[in-house]
Amino acid sequence: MATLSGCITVLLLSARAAGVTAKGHSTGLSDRACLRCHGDPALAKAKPGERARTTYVNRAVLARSRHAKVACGECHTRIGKHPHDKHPHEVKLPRAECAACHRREARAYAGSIHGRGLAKADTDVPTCQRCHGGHDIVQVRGPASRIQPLRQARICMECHADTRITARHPDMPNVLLIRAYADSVHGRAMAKSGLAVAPTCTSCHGTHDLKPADDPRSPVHRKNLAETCGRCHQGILAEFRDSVHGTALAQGVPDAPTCTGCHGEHTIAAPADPSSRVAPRNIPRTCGSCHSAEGIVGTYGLASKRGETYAESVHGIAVKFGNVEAANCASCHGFHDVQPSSDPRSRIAKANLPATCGKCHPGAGAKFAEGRVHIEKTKQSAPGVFYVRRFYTWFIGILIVCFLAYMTVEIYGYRRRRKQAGPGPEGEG
Amino acid sequence: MTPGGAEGREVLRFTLNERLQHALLMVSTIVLLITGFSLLFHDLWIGRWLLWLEGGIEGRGLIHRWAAVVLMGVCGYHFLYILFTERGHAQFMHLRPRRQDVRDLIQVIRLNLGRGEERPPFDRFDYRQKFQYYAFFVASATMILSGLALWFATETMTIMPKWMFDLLAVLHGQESVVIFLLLFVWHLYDVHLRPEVFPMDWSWITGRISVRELKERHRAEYERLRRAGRIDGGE
Repeated sequence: MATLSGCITVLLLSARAAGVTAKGHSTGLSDRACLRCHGDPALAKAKPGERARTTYVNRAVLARSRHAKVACGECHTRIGKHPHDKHPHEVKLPRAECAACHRREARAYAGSIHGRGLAKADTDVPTCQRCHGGHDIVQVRGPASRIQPLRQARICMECHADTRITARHPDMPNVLLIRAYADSVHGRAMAKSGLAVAPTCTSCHGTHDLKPADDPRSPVHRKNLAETCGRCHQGILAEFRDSVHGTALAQGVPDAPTCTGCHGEHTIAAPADPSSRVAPRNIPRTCGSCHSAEGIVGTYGLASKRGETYAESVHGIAVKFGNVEAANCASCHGFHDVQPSSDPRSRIAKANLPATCGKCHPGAGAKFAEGRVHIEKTKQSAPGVFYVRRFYTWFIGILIVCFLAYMTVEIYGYRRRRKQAGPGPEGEG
Repeated sequence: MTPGGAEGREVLRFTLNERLQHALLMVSTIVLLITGFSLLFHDLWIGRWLLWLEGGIEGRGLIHRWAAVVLMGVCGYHFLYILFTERGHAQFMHLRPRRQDVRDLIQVIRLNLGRGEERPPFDRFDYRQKFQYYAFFVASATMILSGLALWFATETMTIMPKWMFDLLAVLHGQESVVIFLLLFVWHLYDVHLRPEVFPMDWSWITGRISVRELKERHRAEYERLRRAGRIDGGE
């Protein structure tokens, strides 16, 4: 059904469309001819029982798109290969072909987890159009783009937060994990502060070449993650590479933490946020997840009982009950630059202790550093504390026995005297 | 010491000044014990609950230190009191430990076990009261000194190695348990549950003791006061 207004629009557009066709692929059809039918809004209405996939092309949208000057036939390559007697092309037209122009992206896509799914005829995987749009395609970085950074996470979540899709693909990451991004420091920077430079899904996971995190080529694979975070957090990457964790990671130690080991993944929060794994109150638990884990401590010969000895210290108790000024692990050991005490650069190396303690206790000098900090208080390591404890154990025990014995004797004597004196007012010896 | 003439059968045992010293000592020590135990038992529900009541770890510290200031004030005043007032000095002289106190203790135990003759004629303070006084003196001195070292940690750190600091922290915690025993097990038994005084020895509030009780419990003092003509008649 060609309305009057439709015809006018076709006429207006046809000159330019025909011109492009002339220098583009030979389709045998002008865009004008395509739009004569496909420009009819009536096509937008799906027939009952049919999937609502429209063959309607909004001329205005197309004119504003990045592909305004690309002829229909350049993407819809199969047009024109069929006789035009009844219908100009076969009814079921294959997907628009992007690879002819976007060869590099198509190659990357073919190797991605999405591309491999498509190769297996998985209808849930996103094709080019799913993310980039179809006739409305605009420049990726442009303000109207569907995958403009501020909007991009929403596009990914259309599938990754859809439990119907994840139910069909058990190897897809958990929906809650994906959704957690929205509340993360990165997600909020994007959504609340409108920071388009904040990382969105593709910033860390890659785009066309997207791979699952356990693929060594994925930018979020353990081996590559620090570099990926370091693309933005450059100064921290340099510190981390030099730290005991960074060097262990580089040596391939399987338990060495990378960024996410401490900061979390999609849940990542600013250290000042109480929910952050690196918030002062949570740091002991975060460090303790390795340094109090017997398997890890035993395997690598780390000092044992770090968490427990800290927890019973005055710092540990203060932090546990919500004080954020008291020292946590990172206050003394550092964080991205953490080093073992044997390393002279370490903040807890003997020579540096006065300065490290002195950050909060300006009086702490070399004298103070003589003692050892959060050690297991055994007879050998802390004889003073050990013997004080032992003394009091005995002293308190003996005191209780003496008190109870005296009371028993006194009450016994009182009752005995009362019995002797008979029912009198007071038992006097 | 004023004679109990006005009330007839009672004599003044503790002056208002002394009762106030005791009251302040009691309140500050109870507050110190509660706020201290909430830290000592921070792992148990009672410690967590107390910490919550006290306004968290900072509130706890604040209350604990203010109570410590009161305690130290009372102790300091007490020293001045026994050094520079006639009454205070006399009380302190009565509290001096003597060998007789040990003999008295043995005699009382024998008496209670049925081997005894007479109850010893105690003077103004008997061995229990002297023990209470000196035990609390030693304990509070320990607590005040170690407590000050922990309070002024930054200053102490300049002169003290870490291990000594740790030792003082443990000492402070353990000694508090001793004080708890001394007060809540021993002293409260002594002034409340002891058959002789049950349900309570009122003299800490009224400051007075009846002549009859004085004669029973502090015979030597009673005799002394009678000889001095300060008690008329007695019984």
